Amino acid sequence: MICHHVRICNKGRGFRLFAAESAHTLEGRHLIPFLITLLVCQLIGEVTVIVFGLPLPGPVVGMAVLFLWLTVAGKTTANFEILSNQLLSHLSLLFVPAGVGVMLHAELLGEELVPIAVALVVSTLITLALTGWIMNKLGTETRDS
Amino acid sequence: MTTELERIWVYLSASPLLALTLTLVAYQFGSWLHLKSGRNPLVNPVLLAVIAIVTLLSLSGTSYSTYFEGAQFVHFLLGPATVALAVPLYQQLHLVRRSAKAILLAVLCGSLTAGISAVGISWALGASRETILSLAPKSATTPVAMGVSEQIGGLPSLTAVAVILTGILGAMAGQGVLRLMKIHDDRAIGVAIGVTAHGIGTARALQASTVAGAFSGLAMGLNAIATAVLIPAIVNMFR
Repeated sequence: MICHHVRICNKGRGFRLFAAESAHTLEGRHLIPFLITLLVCQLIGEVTVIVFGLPLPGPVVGMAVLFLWLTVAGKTTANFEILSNQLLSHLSLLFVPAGVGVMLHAELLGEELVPIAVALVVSTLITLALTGWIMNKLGTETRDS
Repeated sequence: MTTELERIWVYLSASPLLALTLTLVAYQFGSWLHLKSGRNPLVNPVLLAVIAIVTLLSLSGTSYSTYFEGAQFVHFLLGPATVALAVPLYQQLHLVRRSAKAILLAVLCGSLTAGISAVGISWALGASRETILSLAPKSATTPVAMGVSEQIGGLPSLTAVAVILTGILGAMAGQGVLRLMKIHDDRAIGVAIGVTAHGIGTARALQASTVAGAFSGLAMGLNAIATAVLIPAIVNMFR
């Protein structure tokens, strides 16, 4: 366990040096392998969902596939981390088209606007508070220094 | 002159370029306001971009299907980006392992709380049966929530509205609520936001810290499983 931790820290330090020196040239060369990895994992996810009739979205299963892949490989490369950080830093943008579609359907809320709005707001606040509280409570037992 | 403008408009509205540009510009505008506000979570870039685009579409009389022809290129990237959430998760593997039990329990309780509170409150306020069932899976990621909604007799399109609104609400309120409760652990912040507000919340959590983002992505995935299994089972018990 300690060994593992140290390895990750070292890797973290290496990654930063590496990134500062040569991120620019590396990114271009590594973009396509990065995209292939994501798309292949998503494909495996989508196919798994269809074959086993899972009630889950393909990309969520694809996330599990990539996670297993990384765990088995035991490492990621600096480029892979940089590229995924860049993609994920714009994750919000990717929800805009779906958000627009939903707002145009806002008339579905119709006469029940008030009960729906109150239910969503209060339920969101309760869920945030309770989940955070449980995780914080249980997390303290295993918290590191 | 008017006919010339009309000709250009007809040309542009038939190509995906305009909608794609509009999506990016609206988002950049939202992000700019977000930065100007000192990264205030209440000034949410997704919400601002959506409002700006909906306003422009309504004013120009453009249909959603026309808009989506351009916007689909952005929408498509949601899949690969969701897969990429495995990377921060892997980077925080040592933390995840150490609190695996806590994560599972927190997600389970959070998932049940989200469903039961939404159902209970909308029922108490006199919503119709179909609406109540549509709200039950609203904290799960959109495809799961819509599937569950259909399965239990809700209205999937209403569920989609509820999911997106919940995501935006959770992203806006998440850090504030937890700060009020004096919870400053990034793991707890991540799990709470991920369970409550799926991908939209996770996008926000990633901006808070990599640890919060990693735990939020994991919680979102686990909540998808929990919602898909638990909500239909609970609804069946009351049939």
